Amino acid sequence: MLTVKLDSDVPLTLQIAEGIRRQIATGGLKTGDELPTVRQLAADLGVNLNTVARAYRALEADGLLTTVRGRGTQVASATVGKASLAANRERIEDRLRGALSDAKLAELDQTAVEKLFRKLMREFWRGATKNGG
Amino acid sequence: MALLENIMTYGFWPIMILSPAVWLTCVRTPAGVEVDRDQIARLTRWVWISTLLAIALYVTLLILWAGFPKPMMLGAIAPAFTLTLRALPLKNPDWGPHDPNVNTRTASLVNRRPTMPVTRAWWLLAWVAALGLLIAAASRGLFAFEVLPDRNERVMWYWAMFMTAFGPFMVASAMWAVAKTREEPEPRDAANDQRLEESYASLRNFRAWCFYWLFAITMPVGFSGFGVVMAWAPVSANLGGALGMGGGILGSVIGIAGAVFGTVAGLRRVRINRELRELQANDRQAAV
Repeated sequence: MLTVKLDSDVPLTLQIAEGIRRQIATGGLKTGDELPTVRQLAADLGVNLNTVARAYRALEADGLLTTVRGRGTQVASATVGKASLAANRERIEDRLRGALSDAKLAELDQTAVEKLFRKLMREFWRGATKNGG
Repeated sequence: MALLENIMTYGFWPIMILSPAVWLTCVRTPAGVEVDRDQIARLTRWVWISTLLAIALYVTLLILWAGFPKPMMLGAIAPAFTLTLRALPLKNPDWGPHDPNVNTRTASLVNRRPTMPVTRAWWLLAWVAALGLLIAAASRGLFAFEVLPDRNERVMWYWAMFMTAFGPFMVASAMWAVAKTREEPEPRDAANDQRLEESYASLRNFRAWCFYWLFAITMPVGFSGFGVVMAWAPVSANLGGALGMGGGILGSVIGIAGAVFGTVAGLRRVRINRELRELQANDRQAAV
């Protein structure tokens, strides 16, 4: 399942891409699984077609999805590719730094952030184990 | 009979024009649902203004040009209709696929295309029927031109070809319409309720089969069948009246069947929307 919040500060395209990325990472979606068409997902979420199309394109650029004419969009890989390990590491660090900045700006102290991070880690790996990922 | 004809000719359009506004006014907000009453009142006011303007236009046209093409009124209905479609789910979320008052939306990441109940074999049947009837009508043309070069028969054959040519066109349109049933909005609850999923699947398949039997089989076979009879019946048999009556009955039956199917599908959808609204309310409570 994919959930988005219309009143969130995070753009919808990013929420959709993150949701799919999370499903792939936790094994909810496996390599070769067919994703909904752009029209189907846009209709279900009640968002613009372009919003979903942009999210799919971003994931295709990461190598996670592939679109084959006549066969739709499928999960291409459960990893973003090992060739650019350094680049991946840098990207993850950037995102973590961004999340930490958000936490600091939201006046969360270090203990609260650590607690939140541990909770999310537990939830994430519990989901991944459940899906065999 | 004349009275009935007058009612049908002049009464139909005012009823069509008034329907959206009356419908919107009669719809009630379910108990416990918070809605933006100011926005609804504003939209309802504009729906009534557009409706009264359309009625005024209809009456003016009737006075100045009684025989004006009535389908022109579709353009005048459009504003009230569009505004009603916008206002209805605001007033009662069960009348729209998405509750405008809920900002969290959930969707399944499963592609619904492989769940299509109308398989290739069913489409083959529809194509064989439509093309078979087209060939049956067309083959008469060869005789009409070479063996029976009667002008009336040729005119009849042109009409027959016109009717049967609709068959393949209708089957192609039905393929598109049936495929679209997989892309109807099916928002879900965060807990992924199984019963909701089954309700969606059942309605989705109901719509696909209704579209198939109505637009891929009944309409093409019915109208092309008439075309074949027209092509092959001798002009001397004077079947024009009977064929016209038969075509009228078939058209009416298809129209009524379509209306019944649309109403049933619409009501089932409202029930699903209500289920979803209740599940989403549970989700919100659980989150609190």
